[in-house]
Amino acid sequence: MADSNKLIEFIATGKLEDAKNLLNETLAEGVSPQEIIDLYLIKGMETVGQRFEEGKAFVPNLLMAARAMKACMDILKPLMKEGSQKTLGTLVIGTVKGDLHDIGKNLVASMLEGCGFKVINLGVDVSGEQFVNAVKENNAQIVCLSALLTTTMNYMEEVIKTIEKEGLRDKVKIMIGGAPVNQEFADKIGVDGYSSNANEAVILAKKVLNIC
Amino acid sequence: MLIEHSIKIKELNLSKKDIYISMGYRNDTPDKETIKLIDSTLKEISEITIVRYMYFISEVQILSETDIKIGENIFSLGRKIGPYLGGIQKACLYVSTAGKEFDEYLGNLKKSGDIMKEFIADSIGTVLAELSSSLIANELEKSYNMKVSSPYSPGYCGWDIKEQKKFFSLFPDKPCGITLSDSFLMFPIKSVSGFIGLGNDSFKRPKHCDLCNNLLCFKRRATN
Ligand code: B12
Repeated sequence: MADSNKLIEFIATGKLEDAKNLLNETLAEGVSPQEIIDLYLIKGMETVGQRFEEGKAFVPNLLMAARAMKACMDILKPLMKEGSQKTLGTLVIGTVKGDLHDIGKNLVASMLEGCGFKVINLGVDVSGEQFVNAVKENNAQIVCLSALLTTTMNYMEEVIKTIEKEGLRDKVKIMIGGAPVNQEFADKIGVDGYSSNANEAVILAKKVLNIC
Repeated sequence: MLIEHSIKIKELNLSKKDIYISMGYRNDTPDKETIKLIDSTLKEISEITIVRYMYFISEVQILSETDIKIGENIFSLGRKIGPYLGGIQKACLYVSTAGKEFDEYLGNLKKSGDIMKEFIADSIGTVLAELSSSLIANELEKSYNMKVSSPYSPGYCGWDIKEQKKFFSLFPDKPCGITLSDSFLMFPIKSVSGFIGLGNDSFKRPKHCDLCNNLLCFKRRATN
């Protein structure tokens, strides 16, 4: 019998090949893809998230885990019936217009994807209009804005205005982040959430959608 | 006199520790597997990337606690940086870049979907872009019998990023291939601009994080 509990640790420590092998063994024993996701994979991501909060894991560890998770999901997805594939939600993420810093934003995107969200990453220098179009095209429930400059963080307000103008504000939640941004700024511009790191971003995304 | 250098990574004494810090490891060391991936990514980058930097020296006048005049241009550095420039006589203005080849390499990695390798490459690119200031400081110390200050960049620590425009006007068009966007940022992305002060007496140096209020910064505890 495969010791499937080990899958949690393989995900948490980002051991991609070990995780894939054990995943295949677990599948061969007849455990359903959805059970594997719920019982092991998501727990693995939660474990590394917890370690990160405690200062026992670093940013790259989060990424390694997200990478292993993604590889496992790539194996599981084709086995799941169309429509039965649960994603936690669809979100659009980008660094706002005028800004090029994107390492942190990409981390947030990878973590969210690893934890079960469908993520549309629009890249850097993204205008309000591009955000709105992506929300419409993908039926997104969350918009995530990133900025690393004090000058460009103000553009976040522009994006919000564009979303309001298009009548989408009631349909999407807005989350923001990036070094110069804080809770006070988030409150001021009236968004649904702010977080200071990629791990919290996942918790926040679940919170704004009332999951968990 | 404008000085320009193009350096292959092999010729640079790149510190692994700097790469680890740039990746967020603080004072820790990555596990063996990650180190292997860092080494192989660095090797790939070394094959395609050339670090370019350009600088010149100009006379400086201190106008106030916050403002200095470099050549004919007045720069307002703000209350944080200003106090560290007492005794400045000349300034070495520089731009530096890991180049468009690096941006292309990173762009391709993004498409490949290997998020870990992309993050490693991104972090190495940051180290490459930031390396020039210490290379230039070393060159300055050798060539001039003067003390050098810490490097300061438009956009950092209260110095308005809009002053990039004035800053770039002092260089030839597209120095090292760098262009400036409407929001005063540089392409290629892995580029930096800044200056180093020169004077006869030692400069007051900010302890690494004194000038910045980002308490959550991943570099903060690593360098303090
Ligand atoms: C790496 C870096 C660079 C690199 C590379 C950038 C890149 N895109 O590749 C280089 C060296 C090239 C660079 C250059 C410059 N930089 Co720079 N850079 C940084 C630095 C040190 C780290 C940014 C980073 O990658 N952090 C690592 C990630 C993991 O953290 P993060 O981005 O904060 O993201 C986390 C959270 O914020 C959060 N988060 C982020 N986005 C989102 C979004 C959502 C929705 C949520 C929920 C959460 C979230 O989660 C992330 C993961 O945990 C910051 C300082 C800092 N500590 O932030 C300066 C900084 C951003 N840079 C700055 C400046 C000014 C510049 C330059 C203009 C300087 C110059 N004149 O040369 C240039 C511009 C470059 C250009 N092309 O024009 C300033 C901006 C000042 C300001 N507030 O306006 C900063 C703050 C430095 C400072 N001390 O002042 N930079």
